[in-house]
Amino acid sequence: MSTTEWRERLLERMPPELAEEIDIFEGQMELRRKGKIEDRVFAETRLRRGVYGQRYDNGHRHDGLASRELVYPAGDLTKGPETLWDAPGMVRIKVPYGGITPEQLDVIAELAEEYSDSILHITTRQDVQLHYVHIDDTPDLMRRLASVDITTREACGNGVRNLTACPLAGVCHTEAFDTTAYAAALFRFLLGHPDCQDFGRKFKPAFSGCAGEACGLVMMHDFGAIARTSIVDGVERRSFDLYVGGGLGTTPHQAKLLYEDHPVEELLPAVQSIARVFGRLGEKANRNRARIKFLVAKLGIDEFRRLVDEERKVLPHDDRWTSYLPSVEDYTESPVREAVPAPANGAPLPDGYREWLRTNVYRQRQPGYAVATVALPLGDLSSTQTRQLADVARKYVGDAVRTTVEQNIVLRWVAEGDLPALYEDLVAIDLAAPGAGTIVDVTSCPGTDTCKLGIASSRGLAGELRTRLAAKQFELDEAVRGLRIKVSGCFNSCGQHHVADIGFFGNSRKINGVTVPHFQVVLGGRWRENAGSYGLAIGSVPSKRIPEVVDAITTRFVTEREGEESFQDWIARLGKKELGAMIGELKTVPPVDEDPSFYTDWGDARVFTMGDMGIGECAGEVISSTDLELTMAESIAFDAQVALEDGDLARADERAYAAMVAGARALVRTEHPNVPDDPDTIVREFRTRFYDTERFFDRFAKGRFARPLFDRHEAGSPAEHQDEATRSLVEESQLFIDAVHAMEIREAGAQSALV
Amino acid sequence: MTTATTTDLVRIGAKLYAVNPEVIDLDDVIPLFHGWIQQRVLDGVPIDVADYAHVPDGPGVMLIGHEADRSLDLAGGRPGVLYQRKRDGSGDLPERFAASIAAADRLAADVEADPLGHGVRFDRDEILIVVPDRLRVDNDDAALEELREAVTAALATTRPGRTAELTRVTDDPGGPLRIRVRLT
Ligand code: HEM
Ligand code: SF4
Repeated sequence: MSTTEWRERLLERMPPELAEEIDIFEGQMELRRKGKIEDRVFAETRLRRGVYGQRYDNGHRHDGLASRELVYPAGDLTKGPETLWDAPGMVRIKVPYGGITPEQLDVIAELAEEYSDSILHITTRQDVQLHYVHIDDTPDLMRRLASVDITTREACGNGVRNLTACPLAGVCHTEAFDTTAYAAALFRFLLGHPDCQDFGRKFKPAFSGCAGEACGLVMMHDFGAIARTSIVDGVERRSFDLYVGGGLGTTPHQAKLLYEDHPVEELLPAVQSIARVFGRLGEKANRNRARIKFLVAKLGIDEFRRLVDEERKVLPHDDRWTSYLPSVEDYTESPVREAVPAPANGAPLPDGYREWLRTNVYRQRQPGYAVATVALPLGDLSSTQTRQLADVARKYVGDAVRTTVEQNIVLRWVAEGDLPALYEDLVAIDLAAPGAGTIVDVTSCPGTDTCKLGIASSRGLAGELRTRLAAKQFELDEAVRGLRIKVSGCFNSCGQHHVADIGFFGNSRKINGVTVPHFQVVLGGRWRENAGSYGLAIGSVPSKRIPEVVDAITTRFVTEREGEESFQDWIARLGKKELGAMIGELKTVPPVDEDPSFYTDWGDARVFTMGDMGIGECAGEVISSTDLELTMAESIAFDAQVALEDGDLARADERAYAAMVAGARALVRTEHPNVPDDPDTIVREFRTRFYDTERFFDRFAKGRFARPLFDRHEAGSPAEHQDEATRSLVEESQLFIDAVHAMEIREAGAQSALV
Repeated sequence: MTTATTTDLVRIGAKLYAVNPEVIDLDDVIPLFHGWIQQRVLDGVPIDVADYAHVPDGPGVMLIGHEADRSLDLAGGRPGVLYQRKRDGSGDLPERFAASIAAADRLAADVEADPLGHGVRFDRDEILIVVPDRLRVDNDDAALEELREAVTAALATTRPGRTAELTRVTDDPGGPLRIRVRLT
């Protein structure tokens, strides 16, 4: 083993169990180097320690001219299937409920400088990520984290992921009580718990202090707890409403209420029982159906509850369920500075202070104190800024620092009288941008920058939108400023676009034989009420026209808004048809010789499919019949959405099914032009030609996007239409069509590689 | 266990500052770096271009590589080119310092020669040496003294005949050791 001196230096400072785990991991690395562990097994081991792959780690990268091999010194040695040992990776640092101390920030800044690219990236689940890390550096990196009580354990892989919670917990006006101590206890309890090691997929928990606001986003989580209090015999009693089975991704689900008013003493055993049921009955073979949301949907919430109840009865008692409770009462976060009143009216204030105060400062429940948000562009800050911010935190708030799902950092317990000085200190380190939580504060997943699954550049788009909106933020109408934009690089929804007012996720379209980056526009998701409802897709627009989409939507919202009408209500009133028409004009892509910029992505100089393009093709207006048919299928899918919105579930169901049949027909006709127009034949032909042969399969989702077509075809029209099931089918129809496009692109690419 | 000493330092960086930073257009540095990857003009394994232009005084636009990162760096509020070695260093310590300085020189020359550099020029008479390796060197005066001889020897080959003044940069005490070299 090539253990370095860090181990000896830090031995006393690391919790022994973490130290041992890291030694074991280092040993496993050595075994893998010697070929004594299978790469699949090593991959999951690594993921469960937060050591993730990164884009191009299969050793291939398209440089804009051709796909080139990255020839690393370690050669063919892999750290997972098709993942080269030397290829840089991402390390995800778990930050439970976002709580992070200045000391921890200092250490992460050092790690970013030595092992990464001097950037800390705050994620949409309150984690910190470091990119471009070499696996050989990870044991030391973990040791240095362990020395400040941080673990990367189960930050990735099929286990319990980071536990997220409101960044305002404990200081918020609307919360029932501070969930922090409960969240911390659950986090510790679940970490490495034997009942959580056998999941088919990840499990994401979240806590919220109230039902009405957004911060905890419980409804989009696998498990969530919302705090509530009641008065029993004149005494205040704390409890939680427990939810299960929420999630975003390709098939977004709202979580279902499992237990209402569940006693706090029963929180840990309830989650343990849920974990056991999920571990035992959750899907294992098919990753795409393996989240708990599918199990809850399959069994129904009542049956799921019955199973959890049964499990609870046979669960062997564990003292840890309640041993933390006495200390919950003692848990307080105390200010480091005395409450000094805010500057009196008329006192001289720093430039820009008022704006910052308005958007970035929240007055705490505790008089005299406030929470200040440090808005980070794209969730990034440099290692130097991190150290400087840690010093600012020490000066004003001590350890009261948290990360947020909007990829920002908040300083809690700022004495109001200190706000102007804090602002000036933040200005000095370029961390005083106003506009936190407004339309300027765009959220984005890593996308094509570093994610292997990224289709379009979410960060590139988010950066562009942020720059454009920041330039005119003070002129924007108040109603527009309050909107939120969230961007994902693909349908997996890591950027949480479903819960944004204006959301986007990356996909691509073949235009005149050339692949063009696009974003699907998703409007009207509800952020409040714990991510209370999801937006609906209204159509795909070329990436380079998305800023125009934002302009069109916001301008029209301002003009047409009635009184205090919310964005969601306006979207609902306008209707999908009208919205579709509004972006319809923006769907066009000019020929490449007229405007080549459409054929590259934001912030990327590569024309990434140049090699696949074939020179003659882009000159002419050749549109294949397949493309035409797919356009038709898309418009049927659009009809389905309109019907859904009109509440006509039967029609929505029928149209969604018809759209998928039309998409399948488009493919079948490429080989069997005279296929009769009846669904039985089309589905059969599609299955034998494209599904059974796996041509329709993509590397990650496999044949998943075809299943809804087969299921709906076999089951026929349901006797009774359920809202959620219909909504899901409508979403699926769009994804099916996307998958047909993707297959076409794949096969065209393979063909051009042959010639 | 390997005992770490300053003599096996590998993470050595060298930065040259722009004389006329106002001409730099970071949007153009992105295609500039992509172009180098396409033309395969770089030593080692170049991987990708990372754009952090949105981070004030941050790492700017980076050309991430396996052995080393190259960047148009904005740190300290003074744009410049930074060559940061990360692994696989060869030769003795003075040679490794010299290699990073020479690589920064080449990086500067290549940016200067490219139309996308818009006529930017880099000062060869001031070098910032960065050593982000806290296992082997602390950020203190003793560390500077320990490295002085090796850095001086490296300058004898990369800046022959010049007199060098070495000072430690002290404005970021928690940061890595940074040595400012002024040549006269
Ligand atoms: C390394 C690249 C990443 C990959 C390969 C990846 C993969 C995925 C996949 C496949 C899903 C869909 C989950 C499902 O329904 O099964 C998903 C969802 C999600 N991911 Fe990622 N992800 C990546 C990075 C991130 C990052 C950096 C974050 C921020 C911490 C993140 C946060 C989320 C969130 C919030 C969701 C939606 C919520 C959910 O249903 O889980 N992901 N991700
Ligand atoms: S949404 Fe897609 S592109 Fe973005 S991080 Fe998730 S998997 Fe990657």
